[in-house]
Amino acid sequence: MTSFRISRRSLLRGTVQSSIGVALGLPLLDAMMNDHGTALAAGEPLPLRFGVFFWGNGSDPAQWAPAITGRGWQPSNMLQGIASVKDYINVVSGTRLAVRGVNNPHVEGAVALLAGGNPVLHPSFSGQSNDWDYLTVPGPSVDQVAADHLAGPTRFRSIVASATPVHTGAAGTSSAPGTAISYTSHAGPFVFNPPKTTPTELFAYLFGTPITPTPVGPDPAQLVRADALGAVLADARALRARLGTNDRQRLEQHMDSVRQLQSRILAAPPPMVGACAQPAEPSDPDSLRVKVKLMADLIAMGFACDLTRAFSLQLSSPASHVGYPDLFPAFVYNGTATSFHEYEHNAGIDATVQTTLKYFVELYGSVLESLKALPERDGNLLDRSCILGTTELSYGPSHGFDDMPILIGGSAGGALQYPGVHVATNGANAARVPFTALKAVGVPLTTWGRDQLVTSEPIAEILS
Amino acid sequence: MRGVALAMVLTTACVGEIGGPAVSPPAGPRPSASPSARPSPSPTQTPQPVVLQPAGIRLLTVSQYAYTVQELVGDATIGGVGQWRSSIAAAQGGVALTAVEEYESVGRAIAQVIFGDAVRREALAGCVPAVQVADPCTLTFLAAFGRKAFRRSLTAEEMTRYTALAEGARSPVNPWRGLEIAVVALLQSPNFLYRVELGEPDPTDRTRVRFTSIEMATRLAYFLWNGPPDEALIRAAERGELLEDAPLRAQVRRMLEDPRGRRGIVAYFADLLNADNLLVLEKDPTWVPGFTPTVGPALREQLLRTVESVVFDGTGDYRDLFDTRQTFVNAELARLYDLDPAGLGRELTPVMLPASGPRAGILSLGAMMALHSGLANTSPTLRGKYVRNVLLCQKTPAPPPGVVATLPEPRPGELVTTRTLLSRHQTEPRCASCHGFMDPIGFALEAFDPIGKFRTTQNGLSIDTSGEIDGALFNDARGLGRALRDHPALLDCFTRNTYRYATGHIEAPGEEPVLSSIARASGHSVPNAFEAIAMSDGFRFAVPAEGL
Repeated sequence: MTSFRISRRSLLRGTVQSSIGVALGLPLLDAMMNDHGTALAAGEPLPLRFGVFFWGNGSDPAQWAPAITGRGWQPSNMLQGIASVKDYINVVSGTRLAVRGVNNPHVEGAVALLAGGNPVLHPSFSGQSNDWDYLTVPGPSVDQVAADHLAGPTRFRSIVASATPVHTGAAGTSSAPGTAISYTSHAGPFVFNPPKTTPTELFAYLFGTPITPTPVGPDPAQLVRADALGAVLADARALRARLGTNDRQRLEQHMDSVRQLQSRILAAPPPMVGACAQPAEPSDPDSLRVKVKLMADLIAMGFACDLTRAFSLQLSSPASHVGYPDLFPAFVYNGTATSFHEYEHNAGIDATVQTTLKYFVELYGSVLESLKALPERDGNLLDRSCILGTTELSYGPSHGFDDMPILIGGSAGGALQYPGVHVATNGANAARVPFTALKAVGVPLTTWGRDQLVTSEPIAEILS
Repeated sequence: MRGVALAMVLTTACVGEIGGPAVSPPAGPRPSASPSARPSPSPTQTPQPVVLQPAGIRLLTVSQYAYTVQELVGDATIGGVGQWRSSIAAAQGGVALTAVEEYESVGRAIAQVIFGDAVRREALAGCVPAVQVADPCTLTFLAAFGRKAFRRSLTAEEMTRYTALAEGARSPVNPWRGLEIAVVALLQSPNFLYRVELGEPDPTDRTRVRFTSIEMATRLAYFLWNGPPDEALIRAAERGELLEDAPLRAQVRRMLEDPRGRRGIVAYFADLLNADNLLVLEKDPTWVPGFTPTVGPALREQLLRTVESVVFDGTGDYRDLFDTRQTFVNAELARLYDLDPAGLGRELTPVMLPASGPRAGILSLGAMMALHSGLANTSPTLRGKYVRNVLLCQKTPAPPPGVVATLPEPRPGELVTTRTLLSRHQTEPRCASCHGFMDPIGFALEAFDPIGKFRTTQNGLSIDTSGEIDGALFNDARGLGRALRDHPALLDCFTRNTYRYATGHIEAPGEEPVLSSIARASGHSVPNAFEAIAMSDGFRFAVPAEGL
C-alpha cells in the first residue's frame, strides 16, 4: 500500500554513516522530496495513517457490547458518544486480555494491549518500592510499529500527545525508572515517548515551522545542524565498538533518535495541497473536552499536510489519578475528594462512574470527528486512517480483563469494513485487535506480540 | 480538580500492586523484616568471594548535565535537561527522541549565547579564529574545550572530525561560526552526555577490570560533587594517581571538604528522597488548605537544607536525620508549621522546632508528608511502605491473588477516619499480613495532612497516632523517629542506598562483602560512608561487560 519501498531510516543510516560536511546523500533527498510532493498532489496513492486514543481505568463490560452483531449494530450505553461516526467504527467485543496477573494490573493491561507482551522489570528493582514504578514494555508500542512502517519522508515519525499530565511520580521526575505506568508510546523498553501535554505545545512542535504555499528547501543554517549531528553519530560509532551488548543497544537507540532528528532537519517541507493549511495558534483551555478537540484538530491537520502519519493521544495514562472537571468538580468518597481512579475502586459502577466512562468514549469519537472533518481528494482523512480506541482494563473497579473495550475507527483506505460491523467473539485473544489494526494499514507482519499474547490471526470479519 | 495523585492510596494497596513476583517471596507468608532480598552474611558463614558487576556507560542526570555545562562555559544560570533524574535510572535507562531534541535545542541555545557575544566568546576561546587551513585558534580551542567536555583528551580521529566540522561551518563573514557548531556537536556527543567508564585490565587480578585513572576522575567527581572533575583532579588522573590508595584518598578528602562536596551529598539525598518531585507538587487546594504553588519548592529546599545541616554542620550522623529539631522555614512554612512568621520572608532561615511540638526529624517535615500522600488525602499505607521499602530496604510481599480491591464502604452518611477504614480492611486476614507491616508506621504520621499541616481530627473525629514497628511501640511521629533511629536495619540500608547511588546499580549478592567493609568503615557517619565507598573495590573495579 505504501509508496515507499525502502525504509527511509535504513537509507539514512547507510547514507549518513560517513558524512561530515554537507555530503548527505542529496540524490536520496531529491527522491524523497518528489515522492512527498506528488503523493499528495497528483493521482498517486495517498498515505495511510494510524493512531491510538487511550484512556485510563477501563470501562464497564456489562454495558459495552452492542446487542446485535454485523452491520446493523447500534451503540450500547457505553458507546453513545460515537453515534455520529458509527459507520466508521468496527467493534470487536468479547475479547480477553490474557495478562499474567503478577504485576500491577494497570501496567499489565496497558503493556499487553499496546505492546503485545508482559511488563519488563527494571534491573534496579529489588522490592524497594511499588513495582509499577519499575515496569516497562518488552518492545515498541503499536503506534511506533505503525509509525516505523508509515512514516516515509514525513517530518515527524509520529506525534505523541496527552490531554492530562502523566503520573508525576514516574520515570524522569523521580528515582522510579518504570515507564509503562505513565506513557503509552514507547520506542522500546524504558525508551518512552513523553507526550506534548497542551495544544500550544503541540502546535509549536508540529507547526512552529509554518506551512507556506510555496515550500522552500532547508536553509544552510539547518544543514549545519545536521552536520553537527553527523559528528555525534560518528562519535557514537567509535564508542559503540568498545561497549558490551546492553550498552550498545542503549546507544543505538539513542542514536536512532539522533538520526530521526537529523532527517527531520533535512526533510523537504510539506506541500500545501488539499485541506492542508497553517492552522491558527490555539490557546490552552480549561475544559478537557475542548483540549482533546484542539489536539485532535492539530493532529488531523498534521495528517492533511503529511507532517506525520501516526499518533498516540492519551486522555489519561494507565491508572491515571486525574479528575474530570468537565463532569464533576470532584469525586468525593468518605468526606474527601479522591481521583476518579480511587472513586471507581471504592464506589463501583454507580451513576457518577457511568457518566465518566461514557465521556471517555465520547472523546474518542471527537477525535474521529476531527479526522472526518478534513476532506482529502474525494473523501476525508478518516477514510485513510485506522484509529484504535482503548484502555488498559475491561472492568475498572476490580481490574477485569474479560470483554476488553476496544474500538477500531476509520476505514484504512478500504482495508476495514465500511460501514463498520460488530463482531462478537467468545474470549478471543484481545491482542488480535491491535494486530488487525496494524494489518489494516499494511504493516507487513505475520505475527505480533509475545508469549501468551502472540497472535498471527487478524479479526478477519472486520477486514474487507 | 486538576492534577495527578503522587501515588495510589488506600484502596489499591492490597490488590496486586505491591512488590513484584520476580523478587518477592511466594504470597502468603509474613513480610520479611530482614534487610533486603540479599541479607548480609552472618559471621559464622565462610567469607563469600567478591563478584563485581559490569562496567558501562552512564548518562548524565538532569542536574549533572546542568553543573557540567555550567562549569564548561562558566555560566551558573544554565539549567538541566535530559532523560533521567536518578543515578540508577541514568546508568541503565535509555534516551528518548524528546531528550535528544532537548539536548540539541539547548546545546544550540548555549552556543548561540556565547558565540553571539564578542566578549564571552573570546574569553572562552582565549584566541580569535581565522578562516585558514589548520587555524591554530580552532585547533587549540577544540583540544582544550574537548578535553573538558569529554573529561579526557580528544583522540586524533576526534580532532580531525571536529576540525572538519568547524571548517565546514565557518565563513569569512562569521569566522566564529565554526567553533560554535563544534560546541553544539560536542555538547551532544555520547562522550559528553555519557560517563564512559569501561575499565582496563587489572594487572593484579585478571578476572576483573579496573577503572582507569582518567575514568576514576569522572567517577569521583559525579559521585562526590554531582558535577565534572576540576583541573586538579584531571591532572592527578593524568599522572595516574587515582589508581593508588594514598593519593586517591587525599583527593577524596579534598573533594569532600570542597564546597562542591555539600552539593554532591545533598544531590544524593535529593535522589534518595525523590525531592525533585516537590518541584511539581500538586494537591487539591479545596481539600488541602494552605497548598500553594510555592509550598512544594519551599518544602524541597527545607528538606535538603535540613539534611545538609545535619551532615555538614551537625554531627554527620545519619541517624540524626530522624530526630533533629534543627530545620529551616520561610514565612509560608512557618505558618504551615504553626510557628511565628514574624520577620520572615521568602528566604528560608534556621529555626529550632519546639521541644514540646509534634514534629522532629525529616519524616515529619511537610516534604515527606506531601510526597507520600494523595491529592486530597493522606495514606498511612503509602507512608509506612515508604519507610519499609526505602529507608529500611525491606520488601513488602505481593498481596495474595484474588483479594477484593475495594475498601469496606462507610455506612450511609457515616464519616470515619482513614485509620478506621484501614482497620476494617484488616479484618480480611489476607490483607492484614501486609497492611500490618506498613500501616502502623503510617498511623503515627496521620497527624500531618497531605502537605504536613498538623491536625488532631479527621472528619471531626480525633486521630489516633499510636503505632508500632518491629516490636517498638510509639504514640506519635516523634516516637516513630526515635524508633527508626534505633532500628537495626537503618544503617545497613543507608549503606546499600549510597552504594547503589555511587555505582548506578542494585548490589548483586557477590558485592555483599564489599558492602560489609564499607559499613564497618562508615560507622554512623554520612561523609565517612562516601569516603569508604569511593575507596572500595566496588567503586574502583568491575568486570567487563557482556558481549565484548
